[in-house]
Amino acid sequence: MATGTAPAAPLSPAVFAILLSLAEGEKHGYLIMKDARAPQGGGVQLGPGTLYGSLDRMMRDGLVEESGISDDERRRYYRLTNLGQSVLAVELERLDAAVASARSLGLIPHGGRS
Amino acid sequence: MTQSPPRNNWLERLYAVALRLYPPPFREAYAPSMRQTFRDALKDRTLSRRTLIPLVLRDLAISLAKEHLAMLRETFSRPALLCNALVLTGLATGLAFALYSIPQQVLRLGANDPQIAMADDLAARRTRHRARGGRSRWLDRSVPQPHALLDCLRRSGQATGFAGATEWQDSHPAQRRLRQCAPARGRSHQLAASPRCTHRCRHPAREWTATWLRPRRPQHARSRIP
Repeated sequence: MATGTAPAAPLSPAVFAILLSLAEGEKHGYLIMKDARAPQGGGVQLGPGTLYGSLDRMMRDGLVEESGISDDERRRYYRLTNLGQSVLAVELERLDAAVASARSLGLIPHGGRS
Repeated sequence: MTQSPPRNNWLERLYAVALRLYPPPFREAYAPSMRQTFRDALKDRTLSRRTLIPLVLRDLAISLAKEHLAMLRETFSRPALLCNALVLTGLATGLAFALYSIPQQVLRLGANDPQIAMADDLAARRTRHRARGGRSRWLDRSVPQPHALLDCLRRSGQATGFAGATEWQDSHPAQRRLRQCAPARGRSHQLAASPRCTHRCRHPAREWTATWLRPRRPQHARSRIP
């Protein structure tokens, strides 16, 4: 049940990785796990327990929802809600500002991967 | 699709058993999806078993604790559930107290029964002895009289056996005499003058009285003793 209240920033690494993975489109559990494990997805090692526990809380907060489309009754697909997209955008802006600040201090070389 | 190898089946079954440790609402909602995700991970050739199994074990330990804590937090955040839990705790405490105290009370009620039965038996034996016309040793007042013991135990009602015994000791004439004689140990001649002072104490008068009351042995028999 969605309550529609955005979680306080900063987001936890698991929630951020799930939001980032679902930003591409609808995905099922193992695809989210695989995206989160990849370096570009946050490099977060998610197990099934952590993944579905986070998805449960995110659905209650109204960040994600079940799409209802499934190729298997045991495999559920999830997608971002509007609130989830907004929260992800705010978090990305916050991280971008932090990276820009680090770059201005010379901690990250200009043109490097950030 | 090809059938999964037997080792994967064994791991899946083990994981399904581990899923039972989650709180029931969470398990009912997500256990089939979690099992499917684990199956997908086992089929994924890019993820080795050495990486997957420690990851799943660590995840199980952390997420089990998290979900149980979340369930507790949700329970205590709902006043109706908290009220029900308090009422159940109170009922359980009352029931436990009753189960403890009722047998104790029953045991206490029957504590004097063996003493009363013994006193009844003594009284019956005394009556039979008198009916046969024999001289009763019960006339010696230094011996506890069965009727006094019986009356005292009955007067004490349903008190404990120890309480009844203490009351008997205080009320019995022999016991009163014993307490009167005890402070007068220095006046042995006064006590010795009374041959009835035959109570069981270490008073010097008792030794003398016992000697005085003992039937004298014949002179020739005493001379044989070396």
